[in-house]
Amino acid sequence: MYKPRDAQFQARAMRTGTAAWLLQRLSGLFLTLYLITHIIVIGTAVRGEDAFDDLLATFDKAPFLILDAGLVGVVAFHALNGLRLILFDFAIGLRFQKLLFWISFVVAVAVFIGSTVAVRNLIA
Amino acid sequence: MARLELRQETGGATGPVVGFSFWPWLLQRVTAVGLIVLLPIHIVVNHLFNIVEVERGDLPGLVVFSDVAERLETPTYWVIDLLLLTFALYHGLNGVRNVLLDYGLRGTGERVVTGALSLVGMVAFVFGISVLAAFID
Repeated sequence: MYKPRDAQFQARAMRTGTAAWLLQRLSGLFLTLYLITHIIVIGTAVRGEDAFDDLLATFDKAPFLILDAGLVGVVAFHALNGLRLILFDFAIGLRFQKLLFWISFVVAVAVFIGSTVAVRNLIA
Repeated sequence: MARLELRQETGGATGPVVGFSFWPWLLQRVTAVGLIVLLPIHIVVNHLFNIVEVERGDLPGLVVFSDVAERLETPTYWVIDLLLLTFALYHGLNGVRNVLLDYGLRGTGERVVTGALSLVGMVAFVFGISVLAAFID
C-alpha cells in the first residue's frame, strides 16, 4: 500500500506529538476530577477514627487497588511528559521529542506494573 | 504582563492563535515541579508504608487515622499537605482553564470561566485547610 512520507500528507494521522498532547490533556482533566473527588471523600471521612478506618479499608480490595496503581501510572505519565514540555519551554530536547514521549510512556507503564506488584498480596 | 497573541507553530503550518499570559504560565510550571517533588512522598508515605502490617493482618487498612493524625501533628507533614492542596488545586484548575483557552475562549466567557474555577478552587482550599487545621494539636 502506498504511504506518503511527506509530513503534509500525514496531517490527518495521529502523530507522536499529537498523541502526547492529547494524552497530557486527557490525563490532566482526569486527574483534576480525581483531585476534587479525593479532597471531598478524604475531607468528609475524617469525622472520627473508626468511620475513617472503616471507609478507607473498603478501598484496600482488588478493584480499587488496581485502579490506584493505574492512577499512579497516569500521574507518572503526566509528570514525566510535563517535564518534557517544560524542557521544550527552554528549547531543550525538541529534536528528541518523540523519544522523550516514549520514555515517559514506558516509565509510566513500568510505574503502573510496579505499583500493582507492590500491592499484589492484598489483591490475591 | 499584557497578554500576547502568539502564532503556534505546528511543523510549518500555522495553528490557531492561542492566548498567553506570563504569570499563569510561570505558576503552572512552578506548581508542576512542586507536585513532582511532593506527590511521590504523599503516595509512598500514605499508601505503601503499611503494606507489610496489612498483609500480616496487624492493621485494618493501608491508610489508618492514627498514622495520619500522628503525621499531621508534625509541622513538616502538615506543610507538605498544605502545599499539595495549594499546588494541586492551582495546577489542575488552571490546566482546565488552559484547555478552554485553547478552544478559543475569550472575553466574557473567559472571565466567567476564570471566576467559576477560582471559586471552586477557593471553596476546596478553605475546606481542605479546615480539615488540616483540625489536626493541629
